[in-house]
Amino acid sequence: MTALATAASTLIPAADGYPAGGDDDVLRRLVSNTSAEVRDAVAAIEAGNGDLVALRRTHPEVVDIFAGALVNAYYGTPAVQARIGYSGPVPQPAEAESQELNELIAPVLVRGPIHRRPPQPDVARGGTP
Amino acid sequence: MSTDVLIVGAGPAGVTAAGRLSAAGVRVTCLEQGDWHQPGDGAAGTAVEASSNPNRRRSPADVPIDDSESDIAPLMWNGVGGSSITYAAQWTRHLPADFRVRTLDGVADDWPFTYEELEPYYERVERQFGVSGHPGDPAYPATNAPPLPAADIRASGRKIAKAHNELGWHWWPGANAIATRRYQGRGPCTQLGLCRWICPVQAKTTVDVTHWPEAMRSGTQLVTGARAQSIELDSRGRATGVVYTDRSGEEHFHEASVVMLAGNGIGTSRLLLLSGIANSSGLVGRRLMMHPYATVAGIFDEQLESWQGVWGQLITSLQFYESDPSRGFVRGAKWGLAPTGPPEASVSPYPWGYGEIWGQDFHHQVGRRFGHSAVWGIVGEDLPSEDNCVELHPDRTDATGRSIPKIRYRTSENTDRLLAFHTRKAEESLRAAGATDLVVGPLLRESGWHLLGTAKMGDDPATSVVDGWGRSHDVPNLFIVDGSVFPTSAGMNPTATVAAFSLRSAEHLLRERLNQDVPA
Repeated sequence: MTALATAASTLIPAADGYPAGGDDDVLRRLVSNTSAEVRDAVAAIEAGNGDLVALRRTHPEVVDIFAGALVNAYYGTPAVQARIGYSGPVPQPAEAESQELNELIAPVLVRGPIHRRPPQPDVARGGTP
Repeated sequence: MSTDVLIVGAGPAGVTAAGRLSAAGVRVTCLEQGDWHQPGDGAAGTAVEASSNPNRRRSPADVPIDDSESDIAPLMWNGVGGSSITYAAQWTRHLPADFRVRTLDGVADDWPFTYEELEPYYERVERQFGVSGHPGDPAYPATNAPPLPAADIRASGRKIAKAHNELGWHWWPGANAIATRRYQGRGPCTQLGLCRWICPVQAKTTVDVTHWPEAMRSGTQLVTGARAQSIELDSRGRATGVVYTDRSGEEHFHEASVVMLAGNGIGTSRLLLLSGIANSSGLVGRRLMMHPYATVAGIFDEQLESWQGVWGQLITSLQFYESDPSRGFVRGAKWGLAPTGPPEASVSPYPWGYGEIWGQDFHHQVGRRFGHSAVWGIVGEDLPSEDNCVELHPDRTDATGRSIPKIRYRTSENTDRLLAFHTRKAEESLRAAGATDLVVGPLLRESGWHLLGTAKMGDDPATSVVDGWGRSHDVPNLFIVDGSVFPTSAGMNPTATVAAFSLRSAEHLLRERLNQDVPA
């Protein structure tokens, strides 16, 4: 197993029908990330032989960047999407249903205004701006 | 090259002023250090790849920021549209009390104008931005309805709304610069939950799409890849224009009768400090406020499909916004309820904090969170302190050899108490709504979306940088129209107030243009 696969599978192990983070498809997506900071993080992981514990001691931000990129790659793979049952959001009308809203907000309206009313500047300090 | 008004920064503040001025026949040019946003350049594509942090993004448009002595990392988008490209489009006006903090609470400063004076401008920019919301919120004075109806508050919003009704706490459908109906040729929103990254149907208002085309049709000239480096003055102390560098590093001078800054609380103050002007008060760069931000996520047993919905804010609560001396701190915070996004967002520091979920428990934890959660985002009011500041870095420079900004920022004891109180109350809210597990992000480091206060406005030149119209006390043809001028931060997302203030300042300039003091 490569250093990258070791590190990725340490963070995301295979379990419950989910592939590991070190799965080939995940790693292909990970290394295709063009972000400079992700490329740097991947290089640091490889240079450190995938020892995340040691790297976290010295460069915790590098591990965070690597982990963030890994999880993006992971949930972009068809196998993981099939396992979790999610391949993206579905378009739905956005407008709230007004009758339902009006019923829900009725108690808020009953309680009345809650903002403070400051004195106007001419009262408070003798002149308007 | 010369122009009547030269604006620095092409975000919401800059384009709001540019559009109004050019529509009135004023010759306007805008310098923008970035470029037009293109899908794939860091604010689009796979959700968590996007970064609002210029130090992480490292694009050619980004100047590095030394934030090593800051509790919060500043965030922004440098390009046409400014940070509207990556903001959540939560649309919150300030409350009347936010303009009268000194009078009401004995801290910080009053603003040099009132809510009532800004209110007509709020209404106008809400039409420009295509704001959706529900009229009649009793947390605000009576006002006209936003132009579009509120978005679906979704299952999580309904649960928490009912809980707040039981608790007797305020809540209200969220207002967002997100078009819930087709509006001015874009949208409507389809609840894809991608608002923080890119909206495929352009329902989220990003001003590169909603404002810039019209401003350019009105005659505004937009120069991209143009990094402002200094504002030049004549012998009478009037601004004569701006020196900028283009993409190749070549310097240019653009002459102007009026210079207007809209580069956010870091970019604007850095430019003033590099120029060595407008700082007789000594307050340029001081009083940086970034809205300490905490989250409380609730995990529910029920399927909530919480990857969908405006993001944005589904609902808000201002129950604990106003000061209450019994709480042991002054001022308060706004809460905005958001979805929690796709599975890859179930492990991100926003909104889940920095707790470790990696390893053997990973799939179980993600399975609990994904689709089953909602998060209160808590925007705490940040009181101004002159110790929190933007400075010119003593050692580090950008590619042109000019000092990069260094920020010093520490949260205060008031902030610590405020966030502790609000996170406890948000936990109470979510538990009452039926959450079976809670995850608290007590103070997120990468949360400096709101960069405020570094060129304070006020009536007294000794204690402020600009007047109530954004005009420099020292340089009469220099204006600042971004959040730098905020005397206090309020606990609200600032875009509504930034845009309203910019429009108000632009119209003041139009009214007074015959009396405008310009270079000889």
